[in-house]
Amino acid sequence: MNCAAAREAVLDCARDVPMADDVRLALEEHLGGCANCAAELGWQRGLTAAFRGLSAEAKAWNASSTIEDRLHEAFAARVVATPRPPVEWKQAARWIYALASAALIALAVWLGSRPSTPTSPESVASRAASSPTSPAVSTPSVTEERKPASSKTEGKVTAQRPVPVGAAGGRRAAPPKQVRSFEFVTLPGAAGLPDLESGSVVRIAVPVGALPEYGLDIVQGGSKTTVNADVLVGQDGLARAIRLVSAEESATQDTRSRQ
Amino acid sequence: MTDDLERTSDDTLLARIAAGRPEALTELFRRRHADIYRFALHMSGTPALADDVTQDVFLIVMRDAPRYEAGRSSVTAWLRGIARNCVRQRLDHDSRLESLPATSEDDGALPVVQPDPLGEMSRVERIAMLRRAVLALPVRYREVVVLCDLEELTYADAADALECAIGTVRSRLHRARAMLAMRLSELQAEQERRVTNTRDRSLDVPVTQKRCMA
Repeated sequence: MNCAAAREAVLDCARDVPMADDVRLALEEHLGGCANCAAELGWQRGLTAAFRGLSAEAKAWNASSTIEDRLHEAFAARVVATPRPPVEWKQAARWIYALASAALIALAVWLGSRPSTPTSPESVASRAASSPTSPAVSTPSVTEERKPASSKTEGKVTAQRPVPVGAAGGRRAAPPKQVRSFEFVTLPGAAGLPDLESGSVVRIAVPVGALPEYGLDIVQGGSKTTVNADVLVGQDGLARAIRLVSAEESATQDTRSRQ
Repeated sequence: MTDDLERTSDDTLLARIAAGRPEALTELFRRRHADIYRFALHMSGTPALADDVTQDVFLIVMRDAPRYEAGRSSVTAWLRGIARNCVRQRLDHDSRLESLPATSEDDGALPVVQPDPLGEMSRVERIAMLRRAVLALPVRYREVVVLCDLEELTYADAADALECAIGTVRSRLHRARAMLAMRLSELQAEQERRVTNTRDRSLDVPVTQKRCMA
């Protein structure tokens, strides 16, 4: 054993740490011939003795007696404030949280994928046609004798009864502000529907010949041509009102969608 | 009930604390608070700080008992780890707190019978000097000395509390003892100088007085 290895062993020896027999023998042999390491062991033993003296004195040290009382107050307050479930219930609680989370996610996915509002003009038209309260089949009103309400109607069609959306019972949906002469008209048969709570506006292409069924007058143009119209669809998926879209507005919309 | 608690393991006590059982906290506090307090006092040298640390440790125990993992480390090592962090935080905040605690003579805690007053004074002085030298160590070396030499933990338990390898504990202890040797020799030399100066002054006074009188 050299001095470096002996210094390692000296520390353990001075601190009475259990040592392997071969290490102890090698150390004793080294100490017999090395005065420096022997002195080191003596000094380290003295330090250990001093530490034990300090340690023995420290046994009498005591924390303040008020700590325990304060801790109990804090503990009682904590238990009242946040009652903890027993440890054996923790595992079960984790499963409950996991199942609840999975159910929430599934509900969110289902709501997101539910076809609450039609997304294409064709689907709107088909829903409107198939609905028992849709204007196409319920109470069509042909009003060919009426005069156009506005001169800014491309000379083809005009609204028969300009009515704000609110008149259909809506509280949230509002007609676009930029439309002046092409306002929403309550569809025939929509009067008996529940109040409008929420809805969406869907743009569709309507044959001019079918406009009278929706309560709109034909001014000019062939019955086979189509015009763009916005349909207000309520929270129940049923159409409430319709408005014609001007050519300028359609052109603007097309430009935006291309961009 | 009390006997039952006394036989309960620390792990079980922690589980009961997590379940909101106050008697488990009482038992764990009575069982372990002295270790925490001594560790904090050895580390800081300030009884008030040691009190605060002891309280903080058990407040953290209340909060974190549900998170304790029994197989990972022993409760004592876990508690000492918390105490170590609390002490470090407080020492970081106020380095002025590294003063000496009141000595046992001030507390009146010395034994009444002192067969060898001079010898006892010498021992008390030695202990006071050692305490001062330990407090002068850098924190990372001080905590190894406190755990291994003053609290007499094994290398493995100290490594658990310090969250380091056993080899690191051994090497830090080596280094710490070497630093202590230097610091103690400095303190000893300082004390000898002070004693010499005091003795010289006490010898001078009568001479000066005689001169004045003359």
